[in-house]
Amino acid sequence: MANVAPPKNKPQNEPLLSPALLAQLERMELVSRKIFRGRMKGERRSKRKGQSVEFADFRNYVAGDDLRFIDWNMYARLDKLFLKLFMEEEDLHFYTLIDVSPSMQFGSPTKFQYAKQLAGALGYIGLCRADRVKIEALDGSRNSNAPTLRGRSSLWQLVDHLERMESRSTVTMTEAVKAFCLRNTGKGILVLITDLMDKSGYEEALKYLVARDLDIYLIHVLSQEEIDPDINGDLKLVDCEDQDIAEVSVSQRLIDRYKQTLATFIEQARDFSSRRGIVYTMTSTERSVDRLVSRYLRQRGLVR
Amino acid sequence: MLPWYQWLILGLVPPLILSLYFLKLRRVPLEVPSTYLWTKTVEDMHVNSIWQRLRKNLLLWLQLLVVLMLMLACLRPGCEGEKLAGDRFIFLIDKSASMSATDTETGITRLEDAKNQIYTLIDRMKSSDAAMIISFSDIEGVDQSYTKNKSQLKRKVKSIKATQQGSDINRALVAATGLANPGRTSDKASNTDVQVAEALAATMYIFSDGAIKNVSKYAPGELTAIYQPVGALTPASNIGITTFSINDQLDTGGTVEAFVRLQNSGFEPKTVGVSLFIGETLSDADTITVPGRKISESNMSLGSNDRLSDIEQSPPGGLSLKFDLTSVAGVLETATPIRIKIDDSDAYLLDNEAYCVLNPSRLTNVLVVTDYNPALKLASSTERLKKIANVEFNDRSYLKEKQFKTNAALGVYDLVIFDQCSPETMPACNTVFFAAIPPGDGWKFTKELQITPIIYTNNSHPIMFDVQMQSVSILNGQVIEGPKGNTNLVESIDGSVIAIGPRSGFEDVVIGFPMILYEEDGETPYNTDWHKKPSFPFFMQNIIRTLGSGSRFNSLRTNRPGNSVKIKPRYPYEEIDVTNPQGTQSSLREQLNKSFVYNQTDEAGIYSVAEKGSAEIDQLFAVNLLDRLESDIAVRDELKLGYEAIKGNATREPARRDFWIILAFLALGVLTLEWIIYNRRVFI
Repeated sequence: MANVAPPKNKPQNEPLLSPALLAQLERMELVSRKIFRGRMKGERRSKRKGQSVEFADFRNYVAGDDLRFIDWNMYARLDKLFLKLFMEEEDLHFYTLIDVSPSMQFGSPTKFQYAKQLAGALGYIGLCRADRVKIEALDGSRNSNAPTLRGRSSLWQLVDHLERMESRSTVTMTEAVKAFCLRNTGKGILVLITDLMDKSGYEEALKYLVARDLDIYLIHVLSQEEIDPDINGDLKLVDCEDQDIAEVSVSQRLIDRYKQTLATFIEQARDFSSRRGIVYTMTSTERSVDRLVSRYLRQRGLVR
Repeated sequence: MLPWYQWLILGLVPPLILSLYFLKLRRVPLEVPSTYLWTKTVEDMHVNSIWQRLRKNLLLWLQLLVVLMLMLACLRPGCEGEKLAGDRFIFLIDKSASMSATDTETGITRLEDAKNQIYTLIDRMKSSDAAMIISFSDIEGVDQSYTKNKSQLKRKVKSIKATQQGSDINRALVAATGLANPGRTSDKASNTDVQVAEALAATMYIFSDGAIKNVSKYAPGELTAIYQPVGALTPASNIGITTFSINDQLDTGGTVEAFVRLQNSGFEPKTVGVSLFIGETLSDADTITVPGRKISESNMSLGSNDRLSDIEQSPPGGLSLKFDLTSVAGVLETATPIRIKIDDSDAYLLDNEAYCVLNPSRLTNVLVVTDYNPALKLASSTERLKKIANVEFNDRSYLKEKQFKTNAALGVYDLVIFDQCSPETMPACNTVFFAAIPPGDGWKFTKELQITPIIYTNNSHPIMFDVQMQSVSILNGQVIEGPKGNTNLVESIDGSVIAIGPRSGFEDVVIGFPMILYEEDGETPYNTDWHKKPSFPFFMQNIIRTLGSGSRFNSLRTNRPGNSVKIKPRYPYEEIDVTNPQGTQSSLREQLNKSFVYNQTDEAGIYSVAEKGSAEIDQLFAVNLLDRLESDIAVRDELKLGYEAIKGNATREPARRDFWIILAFLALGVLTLEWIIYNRRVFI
């Protein structure tokens, strides 16, 4: 692969999450369309009745119930044992899956960088709301070293984890998702940040996720050079992942056709997602993360 | 045409281009996130099938098209066309009488056929070519000078009309060669001697039937002449009148005869009827067979599609016939037109009729002023001369008399002979002077001469016909110097002794020596022995016949169409009307010495002259072509211009009209298109 033009990368030394962005994110909250059962007490209402101060419901007493929750006033009035149920406030699993395939290394900033920024931003929202935030790379490894973070104080860990994350994956998206599903059983919100550029297809991977009954958000990141390729001449296009070669003689007709293919591809992904209750959002690396979060993801209902 | 190995190389070009297309293009590698979408995009463009690949490849097709066109251009495709090499053309069109013959393939006249050919040539001229048009008959005219305007050229060609005149290409050639080879200024000593104009090479197309007068001088220089014969290959049968004249009674002993010669330009003998009309009345008719053209050995082997190679070797057949008009002439009171007509029609009609005028006979009035000259008296009183002339003798003292002056001024005399005397004013007639000169500055005696031998006699002049002067001795005399335009008739070793000079419509003959010397002692010895020689009576007869024939008898003279005719009416009119055969009248004003010049003799026939406004005809004159060349309508195979013989194009020259230039330009156009398409593909 000689003479391969290097991908255009932005300098990596700028902070992943700027203070201004953090300040903006603090006011936000991750929203789940489903109410999931958390593991630890958190800041959101749980499906489970629990011990918060908020009354939820009554139910008949059955043997073995905790006597402390019997509504004695009711018993005095009705001579029947009722159990007082309270709302439980729980935490939320918030998974972010970042596609770490080499194709993510393209764009300016790179799609990978963009994905990390986005994951960081969403993760910080989760941390602020005491959710269980876990950001994982889709690298197909059995033993993920991704920490499960809680609390605002874990921000540095989150950033550190993201910065250490590398784009090195050689496995297909399906395999990586399968591995993730095996490792993580928690319910909650899952944000998948990927460019969907997997020749084996993304459908299988999404089906695995759907099967986990997660609240799935698919953020489809494309670089500008993918959306509007600025190339000409007779080219040998080399796939950065599998070294596959596509020979093209660039013409306006070809470019038009490419754009048409891309539009179809996006449309198919959107269609596939919406059919399975996945919220699909396409974004370009040109679009800033704060704008994406504060505007587009708010519209899609991921944050509020 | 290319040799085989060049064709081979050329033939290898298209497969080479094709193979180039199947070779891998050297592509610039570029790493992309994924070829996933690209592969999908090019899936149907990136085809494996060779035919699909070819179908999609516009550039290849265009390149093959370019090569194909270049190959076709190398084949030099063309079609048959007139050769129009060069960029300047001169079209010389014969518009003489014979060009109105209708022996062309389509039955139109030769002139129309020539015009059509010229239109075609004009059409095939390149836009940068210039052409000029010269039409000629007896006279030439530049109808259109060099122009590139094709419609103008065509218009001018169209306006050329057939004439009834003979053909003389000489001056047309002078005009054409002069324009092609302009001369230099003559001042060679001067520094400013420059060439007036650049010599411009030109191609001259001569459209003619070849029946033209011989061209003596022809220096083509930059001019290339092409002779384009017009007319039928095989000479069409044409019986034409080439001679029609009425003889002089003097030569035939009093009988008046009309002499007709018919010419047959076809191969086969032909029998035709000939009618003679006097006035409008049919007077005589005859049926005769005119023999066909003699075929020389050199022409025997010619096929039916060949023209006669040498017209001179195969002269047309001819036949003469005579009509006796003596009885008619005897009772004639007024001038009468005589018309001869061939009754049968043929390809060339203009020579089927000829005209002549028979005038009533009148004796010539001759006055001889002499004191004593028995030789002159004897020579003027022969029986022959008495038939045609009334000779009056008078003394020199008669010149002083009033009667002479009146008669001389009124033109009573046709000829006055002054023997050693001269009048105060010249009479209104022709004169002859013996040892005297007419009054005025025109004539001079320059030198006395004594016993001088005669070295030259101008026998071509009618006065000197059959007059032999070599043996004549002269004792005393003078050398004569005549006025401008004079002609020496007899020259001695010292100078001219007999000369004729013009005098405003008349002619004066001056003889430098006397016949008889009037000596002081009254002796009258002969000064010469001329009177003893037979040449003297001949001379006198010639003088009376030639100079005294002013209005004599039958008009022998015949005028050719297009020539100007000098009319001298019998009475001194100031203005006359001339009516042409079509009946169109034109008025003429008197010019010099009661004579008139008429120029509109375009048509053969009888013209009548009358005083303006008067119905009484003063005289008639005939205009005839009577041209053997024109009547021989066989188309000449070659044209002799000076020493150069230009072979005519037997058939229309199968020249090429090349298309390869168009193809090469098309290839260039396609190449440009390809370049544009390529650019549109690459630079988006």
